[in-house]
Amino acid sequence: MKRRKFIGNIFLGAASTMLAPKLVLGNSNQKKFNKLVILHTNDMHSHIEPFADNDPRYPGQGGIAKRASLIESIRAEGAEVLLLDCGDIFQGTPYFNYYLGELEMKLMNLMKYDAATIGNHDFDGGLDNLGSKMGIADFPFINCNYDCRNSVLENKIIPYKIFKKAGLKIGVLGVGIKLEGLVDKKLFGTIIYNDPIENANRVAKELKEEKKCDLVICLSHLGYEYKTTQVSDLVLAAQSQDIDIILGGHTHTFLKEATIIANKSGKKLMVSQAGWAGLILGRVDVLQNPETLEVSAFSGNKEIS
Amino acid sequence: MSLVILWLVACQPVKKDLVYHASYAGIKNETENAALNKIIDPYKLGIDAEMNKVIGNSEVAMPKVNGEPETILGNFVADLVLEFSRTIDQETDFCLLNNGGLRSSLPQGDITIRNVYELMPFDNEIVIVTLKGEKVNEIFSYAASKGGVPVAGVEMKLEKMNGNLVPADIKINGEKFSKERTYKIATSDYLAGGGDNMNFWSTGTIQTTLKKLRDAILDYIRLKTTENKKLNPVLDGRISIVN
Repeated sequence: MKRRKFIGNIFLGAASTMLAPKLVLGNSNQKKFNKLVILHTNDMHSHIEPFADNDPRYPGQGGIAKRASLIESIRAEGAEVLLLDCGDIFQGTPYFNYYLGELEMKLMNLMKYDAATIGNHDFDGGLDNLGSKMGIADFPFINCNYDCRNSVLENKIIPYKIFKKAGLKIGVLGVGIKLEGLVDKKLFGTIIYNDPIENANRVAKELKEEKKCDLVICLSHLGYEYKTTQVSDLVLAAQSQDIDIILGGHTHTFLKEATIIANKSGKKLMVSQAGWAGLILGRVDVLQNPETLEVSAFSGNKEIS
Repeated sequence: MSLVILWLVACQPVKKDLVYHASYAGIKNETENAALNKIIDPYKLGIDAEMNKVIGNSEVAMPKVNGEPETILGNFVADLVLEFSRTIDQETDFCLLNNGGLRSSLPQGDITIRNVYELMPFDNEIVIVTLKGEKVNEIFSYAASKGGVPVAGVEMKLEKMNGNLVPADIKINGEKFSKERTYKIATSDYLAGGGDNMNFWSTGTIQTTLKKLRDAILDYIRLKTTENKKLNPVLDGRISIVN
């Protein structure tokens, strides 16, 4: 789990020619590199405490207080951190049955989450509950393919947010899964699902071209991969244009490191997912050469045990 | 293919740097964060007394596993849901659920209320759907396409055909499945409402039981305890993949 994967130059700042990675990382004066650490979780499903010691699958593993310590240690390394969640924060332990997501929001505030997207189970307490719990969160909920007009989520969900960290301008957008056939209609009410690929590409293009972002990250709750033609992160990646990194959820996929996919133009991007229940912490390190402005990324996810 | 080659070539020069940039080296995460625990504690206090109650004991672990045609956990839940449904309507033929709805494992040994909440956190209720055989046939195609789902009262084989799995030799309570008759099927209101893209229920008649799946599981485990019995569900080959 400690191995890191270099995925190459995911974006070239001002230059448009592909430089060999060794020119970037072979630089002896590495201290000059701007470094951003992206940490990501998904499908934490109200797993506040570690799994019990007698759990048949994950004895003693996970636990949000351990994750917080890990995140704190990473922050203490000095690099700027972007902490993101890809949905299904709610539902899975009595903490949700009793408190309906209030504790999850408070703990995510304490860990200083920067943003989250919405998963299907985040609707499980109903729209009003989701809206009121979003009110507790100090971080935004990002989604660009749910039409929330005329619902309590109107103005509470934003299509994207731009962060400035480690000298980089980072655009973060979000996409969610089709709710019909997955979530009881009573729970998602008037929310309309729109095509995630079309909308992700539209917003990513705006972030890259108009907003001049150095890096575009898509938070997704579409699911990593399906045997059917259902849209997934791998499908989105292959049909995308301006996205550099897709961080996903829903399928509870344990990846040791990100998968590298070619987009519509043959350019590489990363797709990652961090299991579920807070069992692992996803990580992508982004490095920018201050001279060439070239950006490179490494990924490596870590078990929390 | 070209992508892979490009990647391999690109990978070579940076190996040295991986050590430099990487790394969780020196990072310890076995300690719990005190500030978080302080926030968690009052919430934990509010649930522990109830959730930590031991209500039964299992001879075997019931892990939540994916990709198996039949699981001990699936058999356990489907069997008890069928048993409960027959107390409401004794003509209930079989039970069908979905793997996605079983959210966590049950341990060997003591079973707590918390274990059952984590297995079945949803407030979904058991319903009994009366459905024509033709539509029931779609259920089995669905079950096969998923590589098996939790069932009780059903035996079936899944045959590989053109890369897909199709149902074969379906028996309901030991009798050959017939498209000509109607069946009464126990499931959850979530699935009967089209959840998990189960579109075949809509022509059926739904009988409510007002019993949450979670409560049916809790009741069953408690009943076994009062009978001085431990849980001991097994794999019995009710769904198997044949070539």
